[in-house]
Amino acid sequence: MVKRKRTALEKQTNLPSLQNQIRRDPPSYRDDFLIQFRHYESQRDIFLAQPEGYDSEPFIEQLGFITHVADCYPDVTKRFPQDLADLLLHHHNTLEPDLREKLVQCLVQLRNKDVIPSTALLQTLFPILTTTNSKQLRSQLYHSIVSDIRNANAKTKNHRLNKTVQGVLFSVVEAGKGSPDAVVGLWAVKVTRELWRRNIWDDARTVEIIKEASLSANAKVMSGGVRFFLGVDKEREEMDESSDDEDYSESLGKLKHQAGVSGKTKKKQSQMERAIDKLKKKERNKHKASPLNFSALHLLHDPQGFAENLYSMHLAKSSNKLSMEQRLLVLQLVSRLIGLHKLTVIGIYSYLLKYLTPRQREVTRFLVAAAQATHDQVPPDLLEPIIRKIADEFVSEGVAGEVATAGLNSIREICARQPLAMNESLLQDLTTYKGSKDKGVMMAARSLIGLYREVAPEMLKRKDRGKTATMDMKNKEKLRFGEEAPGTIEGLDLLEKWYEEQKQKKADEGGEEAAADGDDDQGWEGWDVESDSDDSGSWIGVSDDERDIEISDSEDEKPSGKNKRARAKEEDDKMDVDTKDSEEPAPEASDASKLMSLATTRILTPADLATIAKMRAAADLQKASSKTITALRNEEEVDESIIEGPKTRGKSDKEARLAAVQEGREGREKYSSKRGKTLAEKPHSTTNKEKARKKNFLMTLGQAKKKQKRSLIEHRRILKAHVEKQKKGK
Amino acid sequence: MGSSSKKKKEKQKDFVKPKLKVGKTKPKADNHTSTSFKAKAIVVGHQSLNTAAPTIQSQLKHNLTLLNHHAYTTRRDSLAHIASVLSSSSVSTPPISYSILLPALAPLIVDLTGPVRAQLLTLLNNHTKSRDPRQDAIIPVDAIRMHTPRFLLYIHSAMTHISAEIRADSTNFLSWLLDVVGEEAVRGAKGWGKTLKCWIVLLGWESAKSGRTARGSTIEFSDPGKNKKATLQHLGVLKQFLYTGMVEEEAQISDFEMRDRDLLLPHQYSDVYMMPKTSNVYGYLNIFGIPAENTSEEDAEGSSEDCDSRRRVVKNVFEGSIRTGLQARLQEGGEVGRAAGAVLKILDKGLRTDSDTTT
Repeated sequence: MVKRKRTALEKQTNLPSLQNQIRRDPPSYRDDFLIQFRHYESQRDIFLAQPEGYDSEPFIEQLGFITHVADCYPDVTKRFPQDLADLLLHHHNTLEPDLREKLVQCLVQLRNKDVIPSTALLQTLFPILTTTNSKQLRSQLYHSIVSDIRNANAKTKNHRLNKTVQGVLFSVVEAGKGSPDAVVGLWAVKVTRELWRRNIWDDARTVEIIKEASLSANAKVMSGGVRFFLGVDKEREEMDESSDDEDYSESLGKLKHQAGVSGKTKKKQSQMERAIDKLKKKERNKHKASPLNFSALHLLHDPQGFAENLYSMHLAKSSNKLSMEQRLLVLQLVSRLIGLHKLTVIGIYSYLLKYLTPRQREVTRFLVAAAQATHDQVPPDLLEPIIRKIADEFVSEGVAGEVATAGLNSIREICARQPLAMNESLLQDLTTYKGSKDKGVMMAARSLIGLYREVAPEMLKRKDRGKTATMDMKNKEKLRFGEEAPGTIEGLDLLEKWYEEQKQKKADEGGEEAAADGDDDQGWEGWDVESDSDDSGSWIGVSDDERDIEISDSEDEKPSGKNKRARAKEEDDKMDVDTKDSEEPAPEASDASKLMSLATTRILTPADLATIAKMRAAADLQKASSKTITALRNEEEVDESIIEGPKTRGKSDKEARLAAVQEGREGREKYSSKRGKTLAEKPHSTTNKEKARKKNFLMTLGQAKKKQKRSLIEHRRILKAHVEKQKKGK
Repeated sequence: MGSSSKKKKEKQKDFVKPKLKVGKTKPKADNHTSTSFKAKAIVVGHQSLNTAAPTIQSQLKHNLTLLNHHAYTTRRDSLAHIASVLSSSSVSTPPISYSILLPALAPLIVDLTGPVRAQLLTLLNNHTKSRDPRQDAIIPVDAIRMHTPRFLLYIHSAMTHISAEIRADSTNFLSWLLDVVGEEAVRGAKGWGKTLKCWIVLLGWESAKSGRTARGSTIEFSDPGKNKKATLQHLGVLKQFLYTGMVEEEAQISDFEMRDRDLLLPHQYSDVYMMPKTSNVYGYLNIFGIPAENTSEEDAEGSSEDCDSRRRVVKNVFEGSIRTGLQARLQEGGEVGRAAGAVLKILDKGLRTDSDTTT
């Protein structure tokens, strides 16, 4: 009652004060709000009667007011959001920029107040985003759309909203797919990309949208989609890293220091608490398993169909008007898909053949594509023409060193993925370049030799094979197309040896029996594992049963040696291990059984794996030849720099280098002490040094004589005093 | 030692700042160059002297643009100028097209300063109503009629304005409009339903409708110092409004006119097939406007093109709140009570005729 009387006396003169009062006590000010709402309606009608040349200032103010208090009177403002949406939808091209901006703001604000659902907001904003001519409005809309979806997904993933929005985006992209002029899809791609980058959307549906976009007829939309596949995962990783990089600990230290120095205020205390909270959260997150994070390329449904469509739509047809850059992008994506999923797109190899000449623009990217599109399931007779062409065009006496380097390197990359593509005579031709005077060519040729030493030494010339490879040759079976090597754990033998040594040591020391068990527990420290550790009896029993069979197996099969492909595969399933890893020849049955026992009796702990890595590193140091080639995987993309080889400055560059040095020296003073210069700048009295220099000779004689006559004690005292003085001076 | 310090002093001399003193001219710089010159005569190259004043039309146009000026005195003065030009011109030859003049005048209904609104009201009253019944007004009624919707829009805006003074003045303009164009002002959803809604909030009767106890709203009290006066005026205009809208006037047709009509229109229903006399007859169909989703459901209940439909709108939607509000005023007694009684009477009359005709 009291309140009402007081409010009755107040005058309502401006909207902000009324807004403030309404927020405090909505029922009392209902009438005032109603007046303002009717005023808004009449303003809107005036605007609708004459959209151009309308003074929008009061209307903007009125809109802001109604938006702010709309949630207090839901019955009155039922139609308000729809009104705004209609205004925006019908008049967005003629509206004054300020008013337009305000309308979008109001809608977003209503969404934040939960007056309208997210879907309604997006359904209003998205059509405008794709149709408006104003750049400013577009960017505003884009940002509000993205931030709205982000907010909706902030705490938990809002799957329903995501699904609907993705549905809308998909239909937008699909609608514009056929016509080359529809750029609507571009915005869908942009929104999707942004949300993917921020880890808000990370499912197959998102990828499906982009897939549709990359098959669009419009070049811009298409290249947007292709770029997404090529670059977006890297972007996401960078984003994650940058968010990790924020160094809270440093700021915490600063805050702690400040808290000690200046007065304690509430603000500072709360800042401190927040920083501590963040740190704790970070610590907690460190131990949490990272959420599954698939790359976009892995989430594709039907990659084969996608790759084929991309190829036939954008590359095979010579009539379409894609620029070189766009074509290269598509080519890159297709080749990446082929390599990653081991697809078969036969047309691409003949397509590539056309572009593999040294004079071709961006030829290194074509070479990269050729390498990426190779995997061990590609028939060698498809690749042979490519290798032949590269060898003919790039690697000959007449071409520059860089060209030959690129050629040899790309041949190596292709052969590393499919060694069968090479024939003996060509290989032996190419290896003669190992004696080239150009460093890049020489290195490339050597790396090719190194590769074939590992995969097929018999194809090399005798002198190129090297000692270890020659020794290994007896155990090596000839390569056959389509053969999959069984997986192994490399270095398991080393681990076994290491265990033996450890046991020996322990036995020497005191002979503790439960040594192995203890080790096991230590190895799993900090790793959450269900307690199915060593139920050792039964495990050993199993291995005992299988021993005989396993031995016979390993004798039957050819040892695989260091097969790179196998290594790639084995990391996925370390647990079901076959024990056919053998650097040493098979016949020692006892060795083989030992290996098998190790792999079958225990689960390798992270500590074990670390030990293996260490042991292998040590072993590799002894065997210098084995580090020639880095592990290759068809899943990874080929870097252009690998093809290009090392960049050297030729002799002709010396003048340029000298010029660069001279340029650096220009306009700088000579390096020297600054002491004299700083003194000379300002007017100063004569220094002691100057005085000493000008002192009359006769006046210094006495001092010199005295110095000679000093006793040893005196001398020592002076020296000591000098040392003291030096110390104090510091 | 001596020589070096001397040299240094010499060098320093160049960098000594001249001291500035109050009341003395600034010493001139060493590199100062005088640019003054002497001449026997100065000839100005081009010069324009025009004796002809700008035409009335151009002056009017200029004044029309000044109606948006930020200084209220300018706006008022330009209104006065327009008024003087209008009064000196004859009916047959208007100095400016009314379709330019009237839309420019309408926004001043919600002008923030009182003097401007007062000036506007006098302008409108003086130049649209003719004192002499035999003579037409300077601004013809047809012109106003054509721009009635626009005036109505601004009147609605004024009736709901946050400033109490503008609200108080708003009904004056409505009264003027009713005087000039009569039934045209209450025709259509905008003219009748919308205006009634504005009336309800203007008088603070909304809460009565929603079934809550009628209580002293903040609105009347916020009319500074003259709430009684304003209320009286509002009620007067409301009476006029309701009367125009709901009570059909039996047109006084003289015998002469009767005979004339009989001669001209031999058939009983011929006027149905004649060209309509008013503009925008099919406005209620809303063929060219924004679809009806922008008007609220109350308005859409029916067109308000004739008396019957207007009565229906009042009966269905507004009667309750109007009655409750008027009853409260009636109980206050005094001048306000009497005015409220008069309004109530009109309301009853209007609604009664409705029931008579329907039953």
